[in-house]
Amino acid sequence: MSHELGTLFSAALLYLLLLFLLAYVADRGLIPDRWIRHPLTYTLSLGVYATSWSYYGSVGFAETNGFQFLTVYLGVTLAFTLSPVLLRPILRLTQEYQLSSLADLFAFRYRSQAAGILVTLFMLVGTLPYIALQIRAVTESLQVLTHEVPPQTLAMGFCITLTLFAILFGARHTSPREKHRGLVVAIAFESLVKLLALLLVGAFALFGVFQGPGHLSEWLQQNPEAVRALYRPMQEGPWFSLLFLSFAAAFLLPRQFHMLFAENLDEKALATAAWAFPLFLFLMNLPIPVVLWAGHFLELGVDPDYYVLGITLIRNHPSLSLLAFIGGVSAASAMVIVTTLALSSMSLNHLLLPISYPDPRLNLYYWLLWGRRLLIGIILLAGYSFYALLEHSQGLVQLGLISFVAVAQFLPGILGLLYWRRATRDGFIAGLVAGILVWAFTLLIPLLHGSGLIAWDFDLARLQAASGLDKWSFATFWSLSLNSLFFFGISLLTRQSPGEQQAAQACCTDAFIPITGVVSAASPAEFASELGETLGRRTAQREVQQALADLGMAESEHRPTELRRLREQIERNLSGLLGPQLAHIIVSRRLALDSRAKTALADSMRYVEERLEQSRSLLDGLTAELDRLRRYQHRILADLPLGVCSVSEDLRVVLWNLAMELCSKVPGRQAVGAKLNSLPKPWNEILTGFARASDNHIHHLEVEIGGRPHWFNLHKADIEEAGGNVSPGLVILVEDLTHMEYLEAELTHSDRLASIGRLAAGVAHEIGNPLTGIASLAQNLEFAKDNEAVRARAQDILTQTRRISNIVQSLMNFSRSGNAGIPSEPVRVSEMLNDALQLIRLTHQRRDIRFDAICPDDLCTRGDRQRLSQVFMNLLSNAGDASVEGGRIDILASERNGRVLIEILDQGCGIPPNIQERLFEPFTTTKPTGKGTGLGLALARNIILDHGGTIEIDSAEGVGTRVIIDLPQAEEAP
Amino acid sequence: MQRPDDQSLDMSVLLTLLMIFIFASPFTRWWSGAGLPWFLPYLLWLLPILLGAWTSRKGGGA
Repeated sequence: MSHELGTLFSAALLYLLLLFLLAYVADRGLIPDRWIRHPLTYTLSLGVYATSWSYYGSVGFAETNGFQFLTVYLGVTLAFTLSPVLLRPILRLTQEYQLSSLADLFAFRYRSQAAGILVTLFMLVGTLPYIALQIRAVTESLQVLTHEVPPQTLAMGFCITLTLFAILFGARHTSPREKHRGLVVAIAFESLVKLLALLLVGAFALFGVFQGPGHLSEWLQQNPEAVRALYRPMQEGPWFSLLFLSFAAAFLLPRQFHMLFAENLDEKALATAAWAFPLFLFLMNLPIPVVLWAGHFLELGVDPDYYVLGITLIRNHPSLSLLAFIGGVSAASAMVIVTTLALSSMSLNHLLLPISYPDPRLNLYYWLLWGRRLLIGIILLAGYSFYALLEHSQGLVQLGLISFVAVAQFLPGILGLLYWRRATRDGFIAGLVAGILVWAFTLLIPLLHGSGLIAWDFDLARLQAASGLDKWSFATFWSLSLNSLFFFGISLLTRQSPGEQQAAQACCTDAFIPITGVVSAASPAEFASELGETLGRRTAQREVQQALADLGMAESEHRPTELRRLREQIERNLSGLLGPQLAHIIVSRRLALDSRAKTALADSMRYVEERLEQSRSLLDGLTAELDRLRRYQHRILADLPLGVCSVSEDLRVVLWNLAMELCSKVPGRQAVGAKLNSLPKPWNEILTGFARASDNHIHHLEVEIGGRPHWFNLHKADIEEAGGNVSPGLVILVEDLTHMEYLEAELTHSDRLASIGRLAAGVAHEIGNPLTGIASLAQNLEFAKDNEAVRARAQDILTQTRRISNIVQSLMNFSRSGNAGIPSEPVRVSEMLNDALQLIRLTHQRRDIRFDAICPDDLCTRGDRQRLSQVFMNLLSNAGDASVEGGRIDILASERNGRVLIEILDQGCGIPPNIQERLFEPFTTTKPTGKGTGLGLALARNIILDHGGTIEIDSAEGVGTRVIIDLPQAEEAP
Repeated sequence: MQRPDDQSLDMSVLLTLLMIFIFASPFTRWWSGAGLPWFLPYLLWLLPILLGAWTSRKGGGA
């Protein structure tokens, strides 16, 4: 059985179109975000590791090298098992510093453009055989299925389609900050397709070829050599070398690095991938021995590399062979797309940009986007050329392993990056160059020689035989040994630059990098202006805005601390755009640090605290104890009921505690890092003046805040230079006396009222006695019926004495106030109101004033009914007096939170503001002389206070007055 | 009580040592030459994967 070339081509094209569609809908947001972010999607996207080498070549590898084909996946399992110490630190670094490729990572750590260029060039050369392998696998699979040699244009067509896909879905954004969700989904889908296809082929081999496990077992018993042939190479072959190589390839291959770190959407997904990805590889490899034996059983006449396709042709299953072919296309296309994207990103940052940085007048984003797209095309063209030039005598696995040895050369550098701060740029470059030379000598040149591209007559095989190592172990051992030797040796002999030291510390998670220097540019606008010289005005503005948004910072920010943070954020963002080294150069040149300026203590403190918060989980033993102590002391300062403000030598605020925030109304976030003279008024003048003054104490300083007077005591003490990093400065204590002042004023007022009460009682007593006499005499005079004039005068005297008597009685009542002797019986509020209303309606009958009361019958308070009725009498009388004829007064009583709330609302003339403040003081009245004593409200207030309640008056002139009384609620009165 | 970071680190080191013992030590030569069934390497491979999944579900994963 065979397939038509056209059918297979159409099937592959349709499959790639399906991928386009899937990536498109994912990019458009038509696939739920939780599916895209799901750890399973991430795990499947890592399946890009399994290329056509795994898909087709594993069977061929198993044929020649037995179970050694498993090492290619066991090494990956080992690397993922070590993910907490190996993969997670790299992921955090790449995310924190926006590093999108291995070249970025090395250029960042070793602060060297040369390192970036070298890594990129080597990665390009080392990976081209791998890309060629994929193109070859697709064309050869076509040959197996059609029994005819496919034209070269088909391979070219495959490359063009993949270029289009990579450009459309892998180069949509210029910054790695924006992930390519469509690409991730498409690659995950490809992994699923190849897994299912391979499992189906395996199931077909087991049940379609062998008629089930029983028959397979029988066949194996009859052919014991089949199993022995799998085990035998483990005893003698390059088992350990391959295990080691695949360990390195698991995260250093460009496509693996890209999907693992650059396209990672959630760090937590790595925890799932640590076991789920090895499981995926396990399932991919489960059918390999069965497919191999099925090929033997059927005595297929095809290369074992293509048994996966071959067995499906024998039993006439066109749909299965088509699916197996699609699985192969899937494996090859995913690898080519992701590898090309990763290499294009590296080439852009480390080859194209350093060589030809665009004119600032051009739109940098478009330039980068189209530069990347152009590079994708060039890389795929180079891969295709390599495929076209290569002699196809090498097995699929051979080509793949050449790339594995190439990427393993980065292993010493990456271990140094993560765990050896002493490693230097020179050591890294020297080691890598040594490794590359050995790799080229042992693997690349023989490959090119084998393909007839170069002449080479060195007898490498003799050297290998003399060493007693096989080809792969020989190349791996010598390249990595020399690489490591040079890396460690030269690192020990050379010194790091300051920038390199800082980057080395940043790469070690628990290292602390002190902040030094102040940015010369004084505002975000100046940042944009300076960067505009290199990036172009629009790009610079956009990058500054982006960094401000990332940090939640305002455009008006001017504090050196915050500007320093802004500078760091801009460098990180530019690193994602242009690569770390170029970003570092641009930021260092355009946003230079003033080395003469002393780093503010506030900067260091905030930075240290941020770092401590981030690394809290890493603290242990004594450091953890010290951190607890630090937190405790910090808490003491923060919660101290005194305002504490410490300032550095240059009068910049270092500490601003909670009490300081409350008394000054200036938030700590605004104050810390700012100079004292730039604080809001009046604190700028007060604190700057006090800091400069010779006196260490100021007592009872009156300050107007929010239109009200406040009083403070200020104290200060010098912070002496204690050596180390502790700079001299000042600590200022601010003691808020305002509350105390108000309490004292209230106490004085109460004393005054008490004195008035005592005076009133005395005066009332003294006046009362003669007044009684005068009243008695006047009553006698009234009976002098013969003299009309005398009787009229007597009547006048009696009227005036009654008035004096009322005043005296009021004074007596006022002076008698106090809660002693108040009965605590429940009293119905409605009854008290009715008592008051009956009397009031009588007095205001002629003025036609309406009184409306709403009060629940069962609402009760506790106290003296008569005295409380007196309160309502006074208040209603005042309301009536203030109301115009025909006016309306509402009385609303209700229960609220276990209290009785009574409101009396009138629509009268209101109370003038100047009187409102002293309304409850005795003898304060708005009524004309002779109409009121000014004691009614003072008396009412005393009675309410004696009953455990409160009274408030809310009045607006010309609108009306609302009196609110709050009293304790009691159980219902009997 | 151990922190999750410590737990994941411990389990990671333990599983790595187990894998090295099974697949990259003289023990590998021994079991590969003992004439065992063909699926044994798969079973040995599955062991650290399942242990990794189990520790990850317990909260000590990477």
